[in-house]
Amino acid sequence: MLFSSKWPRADPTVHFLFVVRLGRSRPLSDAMLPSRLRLVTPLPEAPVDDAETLGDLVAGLRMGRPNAQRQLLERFSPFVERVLTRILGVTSDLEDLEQEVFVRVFERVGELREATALRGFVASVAVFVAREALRAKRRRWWLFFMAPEATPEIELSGVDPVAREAVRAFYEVVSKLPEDERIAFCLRYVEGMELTELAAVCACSVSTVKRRLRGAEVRFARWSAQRAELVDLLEEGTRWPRSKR
Amino acid sequence: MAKVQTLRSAGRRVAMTLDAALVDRERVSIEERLGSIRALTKERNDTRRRLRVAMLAAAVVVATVIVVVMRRPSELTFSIAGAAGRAGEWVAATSEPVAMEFSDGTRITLAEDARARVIEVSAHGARIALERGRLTAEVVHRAEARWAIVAGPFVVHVVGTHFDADWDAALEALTVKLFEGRVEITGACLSEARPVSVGESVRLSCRQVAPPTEAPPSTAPAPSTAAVARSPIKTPSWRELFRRADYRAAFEAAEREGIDVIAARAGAGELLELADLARLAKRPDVAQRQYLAIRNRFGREEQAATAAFHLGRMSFTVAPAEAERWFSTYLAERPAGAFAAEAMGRLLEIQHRAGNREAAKKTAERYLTAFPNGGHAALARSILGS
Repeated sequence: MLFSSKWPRADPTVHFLFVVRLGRSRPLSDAMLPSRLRLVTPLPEAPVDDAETLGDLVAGLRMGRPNAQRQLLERFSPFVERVLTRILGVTSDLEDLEQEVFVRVFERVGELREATALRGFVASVAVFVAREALRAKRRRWWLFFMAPEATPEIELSGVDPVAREAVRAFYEVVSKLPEDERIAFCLRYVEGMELTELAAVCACSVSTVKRRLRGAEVRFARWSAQRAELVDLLEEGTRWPRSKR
Repeated sequence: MAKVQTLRSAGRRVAMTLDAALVDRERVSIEERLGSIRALTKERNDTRRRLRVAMLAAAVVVATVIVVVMRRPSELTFSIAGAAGRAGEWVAATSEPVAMEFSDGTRITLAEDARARVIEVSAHGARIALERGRLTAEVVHRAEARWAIVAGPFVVHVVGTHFDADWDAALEALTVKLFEGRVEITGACLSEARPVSVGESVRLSCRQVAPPTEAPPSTAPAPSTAAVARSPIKTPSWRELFRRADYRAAFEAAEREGIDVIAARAGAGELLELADLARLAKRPDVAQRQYLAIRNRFGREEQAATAAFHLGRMSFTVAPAEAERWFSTYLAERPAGAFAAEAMGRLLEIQHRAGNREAAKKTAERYLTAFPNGGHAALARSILGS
């Protein structure tokens, strides 16, 4: 089975294409896939949403209908989880952050002008919550010295150790970036968001997003060059220019 | 750009690793999550509601305080011959009447040779001590107005009226003629307040029953007889008798108790009363002894400064040099005290009579600066003019 049964929803389209293409019948794992293929599509929960369906959903949310709320969680939980983990990594407070995102979506759904903008609205709320979490973590920096276990560590169980260390190093480097640059960098390169969508969820202009990305890229390049784990991650395919010593 | 491609490649690998880590992540069911979200939403709404109520209550309190403060009427002001008047300052009319104009329109006019002092001023009126002579009060009627004319042991309570009050300090008698409105008179020797009606003329004294006086010709009612009512008090103390202005009986009571016994145990206030009693009972020897005792025992107290003033008054005619010393002492200790104008004025008189021109000029300048409308202002100006 391509997707875990624990996922609320599976995408049969991708599954079908994948099976036909490779002719495999046994269960697949991510490690078997070449890097050019991805298991997760950008919008698995809502590949096509017509205005009428979204309109009903948003209307139900505005009226506080339990069914609409349930439907929102079913459709957007994976998406919210992904947006948060792209920015923050897999942290121990991920569940709380997801809950916070939906609490705010329910509270603020009245601000949504067009139902078709629901996805972007949810994404922007998730980005806002992630930014708050980063700032809160930055204010608690002294806890690192007092009680390291109190800070949410990157949890990457069940993955290849080399990959795990590389991702840990990746998030250690991006944690040094300013919050806005980190968010833009992670959503652009880890999530693969296009610039216009990125600008929308960050509530800024495309030029601002580009400026943030340039700053993040320069800093990331300088800092990642000093981490062996990241050198391997970055040098596969195209060699990353090393900083001159 | 190669750099961008590198980052994208790296990003995808990071994404894959993250997704792999999330596959086995334990997740709560949708229903459980929905329940938690609703509970958290409710808790926050309750908190916000409590905060809004608290803020609203605080806003109401602040608004109420602001309204009360802004609506609180400010204290009345008054002027004397165009100059701003000050509470505590003595006002004396010499050859011409002197009017005190209050900011609510009330007018208090001192007749010739009358002398009075505004004891205190409030938003609702003023309390005026009439030391001697006659004043005419034209008080603007207001529901909350509170005016009082203090003459000896009597207090004329005024709400809104036009009347004359005349205090004879020698006979210790108050005469009130009411032209308009209504007043009430209270006093230490009155068992109850004495109302006075329009057209009525009342003469009161705590010393004797005063005969009635004629009513103003324009008034219809017949003049009334004012009787002094003595409250039947069994064995009153010397202090009670003193406050009733029965100085002779009070002094006799103090002598029975023992002047020195009283003085030995008395505090500053009681000792000053004993000294004042002796002075008013025409026993200057006892008075001087007690005033000096106050000076020795309570040198820093208000009563000690008052004692200095009375020692100066008692010496004024018989020992001017000593009086000058006591008045100077009082002014040094209480430059803005209740008796400052009188002390400075009498000091000026002494220096002028003694021919001490330089000292008199300096004192005259001080007097006119502090009390430009005081009872000795004319003397001060004449000294400076010559």
